Amino acid sequence: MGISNLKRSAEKVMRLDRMGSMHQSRLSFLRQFLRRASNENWKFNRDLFEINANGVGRALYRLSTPLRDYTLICFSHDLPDEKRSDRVIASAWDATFTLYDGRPTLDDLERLEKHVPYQEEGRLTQNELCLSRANRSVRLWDYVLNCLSNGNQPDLDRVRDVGYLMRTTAVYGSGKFGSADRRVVENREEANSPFQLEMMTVYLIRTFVMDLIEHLAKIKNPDTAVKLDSFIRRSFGVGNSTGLGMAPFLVNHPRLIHNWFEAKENAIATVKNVQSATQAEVSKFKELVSRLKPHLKAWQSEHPIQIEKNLVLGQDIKKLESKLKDFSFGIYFPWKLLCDWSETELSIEGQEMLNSLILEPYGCLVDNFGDQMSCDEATLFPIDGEMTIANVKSTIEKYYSWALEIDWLDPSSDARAWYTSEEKLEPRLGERYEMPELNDYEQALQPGRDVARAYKDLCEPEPTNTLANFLKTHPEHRHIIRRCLTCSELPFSEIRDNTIDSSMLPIDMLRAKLSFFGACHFDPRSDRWVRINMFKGAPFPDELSSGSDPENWIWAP
Amino acid sequence: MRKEIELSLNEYETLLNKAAVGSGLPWGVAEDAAACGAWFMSFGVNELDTWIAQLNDNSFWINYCKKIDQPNSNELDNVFDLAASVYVNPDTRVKLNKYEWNGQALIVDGKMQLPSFRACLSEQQLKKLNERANKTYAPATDESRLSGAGAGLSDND
Repeated sequence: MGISNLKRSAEKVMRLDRMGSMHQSRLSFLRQFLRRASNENWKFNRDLFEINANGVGRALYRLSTPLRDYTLICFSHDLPDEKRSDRVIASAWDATFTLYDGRPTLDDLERLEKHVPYQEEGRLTQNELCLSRANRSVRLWDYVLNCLSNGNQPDLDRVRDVGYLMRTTAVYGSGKFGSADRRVVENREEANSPFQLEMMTVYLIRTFVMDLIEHLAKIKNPDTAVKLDSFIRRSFGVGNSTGLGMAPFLVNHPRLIHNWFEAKENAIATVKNVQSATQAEVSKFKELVSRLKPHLKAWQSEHPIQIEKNLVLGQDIKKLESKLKDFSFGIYFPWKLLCDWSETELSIEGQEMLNSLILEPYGCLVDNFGDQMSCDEATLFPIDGEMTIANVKSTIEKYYSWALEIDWLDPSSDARAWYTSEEKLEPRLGERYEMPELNDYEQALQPGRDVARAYKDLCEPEPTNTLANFLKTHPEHRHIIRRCLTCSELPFSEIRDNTIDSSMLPIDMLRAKLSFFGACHFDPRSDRWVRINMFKGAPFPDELSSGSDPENWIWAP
Repeated sequence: MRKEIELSLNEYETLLNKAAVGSGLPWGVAEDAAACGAWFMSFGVNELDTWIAQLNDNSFWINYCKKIDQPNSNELDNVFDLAASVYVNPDTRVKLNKYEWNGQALIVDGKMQLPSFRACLSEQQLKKLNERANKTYAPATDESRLSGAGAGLSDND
């Protein structure tokens, strides 16, 4: 049938309602990380653990690949409740971390102790790869601590409903705050795929958090304290609290984003192109479908949008189960037929869930697409100044018709403005007509509006004029014209929706990116803030080194 | 002794971009100006004082962009034209004053420069860049603090 015929178009995929309904998949970055760690039999060591009864101290967790060591340096703090904020403007956290390239010396630890606890206010060196911090979940921390110190296991349902003991509130990499530039590590196999070192950081944080609570329970009551049951232990992931900082990333890295979405769409099309499914493949798929209801039960959210989406997803799961009862996998192209069925019968959330699920039995066909998800963004995309105005206009008409069709005179079309506050450079989104001063600080995160503005001015000069001459008289359009030329070659690079519309939901942008990370249990706190879970159900490093399956934990409750 | 500050190259280019926007350059022009400044630093060459001085002249960078969009000669009028030539054609061979690009590497006063992913600048230079970059940040107000991020100020749950 042909993969290119079966591949979904960017017009269909790159819409915010669909992007905001995506789920983790085999190509998600944390899945790629665990797969490699298992395949290459990485070794794990806890090199240091010095934490006092108040939870203050430091610890070192090391992962050793065949070629090199990486060490998570943890600083644990005693944070008063009133200082606990997940926002960028916070100035103190329950725990702070950096991922060190190699094995740190005591001098390194002393140096980093003066910087890492201060996060954005500190400075790192090329030896440090990531910077992160985490806060305790007040809903679970004291409860689990008391259970363990009294010799009891925590209630599994209660653990599953929250899903984590600590949530990270930022994981910085790629040269931020003086850490190593991405170009330092991008040629290392284990760091070439996107965000692999960030995934390593979060994965080791998860282990540290479990060790910390067991350690504090033991100090609290040495006679009765117990360790977590290994089954319950697995039910803890790492939470993450994400605000608007993640949204600009999707707009600012068009070439990279194209590679992410295209790899995933190629993978989906490859499975749809499977002519006949084996019994083992069908069984694997059906077994995963049986996990969906418990997974959904543990997907708690108080946000009306997500509550509604989960209600519909529950109905979708029932429809899928019912469909599978009489679905004949013996027919040609069964996965394509199933996906075609979903397009008319399931919600977008359900369709995207199915698209992730069908990849699972086909690691041998799709995992290699993960190698195509990184991108060299070091050089600016060149502008061909010899292009004629007519050519530029037709490119815009072809790829940005969605933007030209919007009525930009309607105030609801440009109701919002993206900006950065001077307060710790927190990214924010404001109401333009209520705060007109924001126009002076607006960032280039509204390609739709900007392309419409450029197009209007492109209609003025002679069509045979060159682009170079146009940009000399209209330098204000240089950014968006470069973007158009980039995106016209890379269809999945652009969100085909208005990012400043009054009804736009930033959480859709956050969720798309987080699904590529491998997050689950999306729990919006508002239209622009979301909490998620990572690694919930995944084997811990010691389990992974003793042969635990790096894949078969997904869709955990 | 002058105090040196070290940034990652990526961090440096981002700061140059913000400083250029804060100086009034349009977004797209600022991107090229920042890439030009970062290119020198990627060979350990600090041409930052000259680069900052040129931020006072928007037309300089608009002309710089025209040169890379529509290259029509190998004549180098200023040090930044060297970066423009190499961006347009990395295989080119060009010379200007103490600088030479041999098609692969930058040579300064006859000495080949090693590529680097760090940026070393003086405290004074960093201050000047930050002063300009700060103009791109909106002032902190209570309204912005409460509504702009879409999250509360405390998270005890």
